[in-house]
Amino acid sequence: MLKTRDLKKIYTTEEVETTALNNINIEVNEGEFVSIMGPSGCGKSTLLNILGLLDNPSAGEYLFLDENVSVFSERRRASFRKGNIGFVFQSFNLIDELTVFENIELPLLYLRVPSSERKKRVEEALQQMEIFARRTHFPQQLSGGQQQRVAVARAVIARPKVILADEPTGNLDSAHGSEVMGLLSKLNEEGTTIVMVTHSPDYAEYGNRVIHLFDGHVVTENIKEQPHA
Amino acid sequence: MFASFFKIQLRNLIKRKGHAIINLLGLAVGLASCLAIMVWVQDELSYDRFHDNGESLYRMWVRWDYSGEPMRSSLTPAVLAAALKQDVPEVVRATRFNQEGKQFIKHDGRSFYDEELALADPDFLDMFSFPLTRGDKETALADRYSLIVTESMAARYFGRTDPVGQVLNINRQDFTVTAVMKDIPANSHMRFDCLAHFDSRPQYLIDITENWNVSAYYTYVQLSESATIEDVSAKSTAVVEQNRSKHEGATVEFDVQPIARIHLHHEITDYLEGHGDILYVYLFSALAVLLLLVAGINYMNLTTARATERAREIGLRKMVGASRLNLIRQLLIETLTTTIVAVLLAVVLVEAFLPVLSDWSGKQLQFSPFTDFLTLSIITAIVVLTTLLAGSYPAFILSAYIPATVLKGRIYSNPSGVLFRRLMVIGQFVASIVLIVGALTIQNQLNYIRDKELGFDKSNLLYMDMRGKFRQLYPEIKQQLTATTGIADVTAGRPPLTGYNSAFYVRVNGRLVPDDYRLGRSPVDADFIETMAMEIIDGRSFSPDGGDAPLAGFVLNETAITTLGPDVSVGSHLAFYGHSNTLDTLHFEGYIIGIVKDFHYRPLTNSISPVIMYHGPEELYDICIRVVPGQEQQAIAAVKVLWETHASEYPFEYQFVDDTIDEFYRTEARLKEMFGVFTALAVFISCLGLVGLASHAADRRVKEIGIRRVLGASVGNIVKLMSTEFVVLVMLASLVAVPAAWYVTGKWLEQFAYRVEIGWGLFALAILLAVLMAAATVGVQAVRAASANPIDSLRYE
Ligand SMILES: Nc1ncnc2c1ncn2[C@@H]1O[C@H](COP(=O)(O)OP(=O)(O)OP(=O)(O)O)[C@@H](O)[C@H]1O
Ligand SMILES: [Mg+2]
Repeated sequence: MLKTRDLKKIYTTEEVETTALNNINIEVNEGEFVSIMGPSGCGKSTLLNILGLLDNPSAGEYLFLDENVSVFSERRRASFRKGNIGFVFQSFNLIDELTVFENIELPLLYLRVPSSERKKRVEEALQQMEIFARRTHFPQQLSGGQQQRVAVARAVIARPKVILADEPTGNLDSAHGSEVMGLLSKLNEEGTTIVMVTHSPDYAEYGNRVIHLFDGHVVTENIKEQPHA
Repeated sequence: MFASFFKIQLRNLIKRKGHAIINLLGLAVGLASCLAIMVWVQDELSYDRFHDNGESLYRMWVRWDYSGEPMRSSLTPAVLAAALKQDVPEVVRATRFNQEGKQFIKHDGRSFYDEELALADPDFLDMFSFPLTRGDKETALADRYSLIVTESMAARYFGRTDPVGQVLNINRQDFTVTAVMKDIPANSHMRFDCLAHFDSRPQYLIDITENWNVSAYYTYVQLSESATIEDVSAKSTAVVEQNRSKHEGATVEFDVQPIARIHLHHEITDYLEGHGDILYVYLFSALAVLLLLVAGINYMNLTTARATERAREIGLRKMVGASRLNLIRQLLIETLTTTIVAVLLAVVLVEAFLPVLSDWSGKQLQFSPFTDFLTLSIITAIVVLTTLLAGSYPAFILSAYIPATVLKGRIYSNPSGVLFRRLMVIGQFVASIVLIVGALTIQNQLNYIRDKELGFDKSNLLYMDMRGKFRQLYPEIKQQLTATTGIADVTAGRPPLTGYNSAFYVRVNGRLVPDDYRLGRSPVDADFIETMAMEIIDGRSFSPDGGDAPLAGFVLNETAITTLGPDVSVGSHLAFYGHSNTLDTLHFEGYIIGIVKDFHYRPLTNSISPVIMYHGPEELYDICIRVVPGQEQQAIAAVKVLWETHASEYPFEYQFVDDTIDEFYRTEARLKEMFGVFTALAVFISCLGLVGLASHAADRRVKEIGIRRVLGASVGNIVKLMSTEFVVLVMLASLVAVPAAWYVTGKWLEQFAYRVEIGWGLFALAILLAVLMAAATVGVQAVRAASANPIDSLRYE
């Protein structure tokens, strides 16, 4: 489903050139749950951003459902993103000026889903994530775990094919962390492909496969079991 | 989707009240100024456009060229209208016209001096759209002493009784009211309260003026649809040439001017009152655009400066699927709603200040933004323009962020954005400095004109029309008044700059002088020159008690001597002839006895005009009284007592010469006031923008400032750190502004024959003002930021 070929990302600032990613060749199949691990600064977030079409690779190819999206214009990438990819971040990244309901609704707005259906789907998601009671609250009024559940709800609301999660549990205590991991596994079981960056070996275990990055390279891929064998 | 935009905007607004207020206030004040100017410009442009026949109505004018110095005048011979109608087929209708000014009117045993009388021929009513509410257009001016009164005059004199058939005595002549006319719209260059037949003038005036060689009245014509201006002008010139006596080397050409041009275009000298000037229309339109720009720049700068805060929201929206187009739309809609709110505020402001604005401009300004289609469309255009102008740059910049960079954390203002904002601030201050220089120049020029050496002493000089017995008894009255405390001197004659007569039919050294209307003819009392404090530079003044009789003595100003020719000097023979084509009736003659230092005879936008003065006891209509400063009231009271004794049937009306002179510069004085106000507003908006930018800079650097303070920086250090940038920007702006201001003010001053030098001091003052203003606004913000307890700002990082 996702496939990279010799993917490279070089950041050039005034003084130094940082090679954040160097010849990355990975493949993620439909329905897989892939964890990415590695020391800080090794390029995990960079990779995830490129996989999520939030950033451009400097070189190499990136195929999404066999389509070479690395040559897409910003405009095509934007339209490709919506509906196909959902994001969850360590720092939740909710829009502070919007309520819980409005945050979750946002992807549907950009997909031009009619209002009655939007309402229905957002309410479903709120129920599912057990935050229905908080739907009119603003992000600052929620605990970290609640915020992350809103973020997950927002990521899945448009029923994307892939969810990309960058340290989704990073800011949570273990109880809330497990809760979020539970949500992600459940989504995976329902068929959503998941790529997740994490520092925790325990949470990495939720995946079928772990990719280890080091200094911009893929070092090992541990296959735990065949996906949905 | 839109609901979501508004929600975000509203919540942002509430969250950042200060910022929102600055943004809105700046825009609203800018838009209000722009609208106010628009109202004024619209009024100026609307002059004389309400006539149904407007397209085919013209006023005749004449190009004279006697001595290689061509002049254009709208004064024409009274006999022109009838001749044109008869001999030029394109002229369908024609009328003579004149504004006679205020008249003495008697009614019901009381006398009044309030109503302006105009004279015209019957065609006037068919040509112009001044509708009658009573009476019949066909017969209203049929008789020599018919009178049409306006509705408001009718109400003043006759109340509820039917005015038609009533009799009013104007200047001792009974007139019968035949019709009532709607009041003359304020945007008409012709102004009057009542209208009479042109032939109602006294017989002696008709005798003098019904003649091709006297050009003293206006002629309006209505041309046929097929007429071309070239044809009409050639044919009219031919008609005049057939009739008029010729002068060697002189050319006289007639031409037509569309009536819609009369108010604003002054290529032709005009003496009807209350004129405008197309230059000011352009000037103020430019000012309106400038104000809009300055306000738009504020919005742009404040919005992009806040980009760092908005970036996260924008990035997140992109992440969940917003396209760039979505975001541009959102940001533009934000600007649009802000602009709409600002425009509504602006409309309220303009409504509130309309009376003040009317006062400044001396007009009755109308502002109906929601009912007048033109106004509404202009407002809409302004809203769209402002939105695009102020909103597109922020929308373009903000929507371009690559989400990954934004989501990573705080992004820092990109250097090109900072450069852009600096350029914009420079632009605003260039505008402000140019405006300040402009305002100071206007002020200086007007003071200069007012205080200029006029060649005579205009101070404490009262003058009035003598009437009835008061005029006949002038010699005795003069003696009595001279002996009164509070009165220094008494003389008679029209004071310079308060009105004048042209000299026609003059021979100097036996040679005929072309009847150049610039040549003034001024009959005065024997001690006029001394009382006016004019300076004799050659020869002598008039001898007292008519000592120059039986031949007259003439005193000319220097310009008159040069105009009349190199052979003319003290001792030259000069003769005035009677009013006939053949110039055979000698009126009186004499010799030039003296020359006075040049004095201004006509308003200062013209150069000094030539004038011939002579002792003319029979022709004295004005008394001039030099009062002792501080004793004006006693003096006026004394004159009034004599007036009541001898001329009680006439109202007591007097004026001071310097007030009359100030009246000439009313347009300029009003311009000065309006310009000053809008300049102040432009500077205010620019400073508002600086406050916004500076407070934003302070917010952004709150941590840096905190650390610096902890490390020992004083409040002064921090203020300096934060203000330097802005002050440098204003200095840079000065570099651009000085040449621009120098050029623009130079252009404006060109129209004055006598103008101030624009010195460096004025520029320095303008720059100093701008720098001070900038330093003050930025400084306040800086002090606020610097004096906060550093621990507070660090704790929250
Ligand atoms: N915008 C940028 N400009 C320059 N260098 C960057 C930029 N973003 C990331 N880098 C560099 O690229 C490398 C990879 O960064 P990345 O954020 O992908 O690391 P990471 O593996 O996610 O680390 P962490 O586990 O700490 O989140 C780092 O060396 C970082 O300094
Ligand atoms: Mg990371």
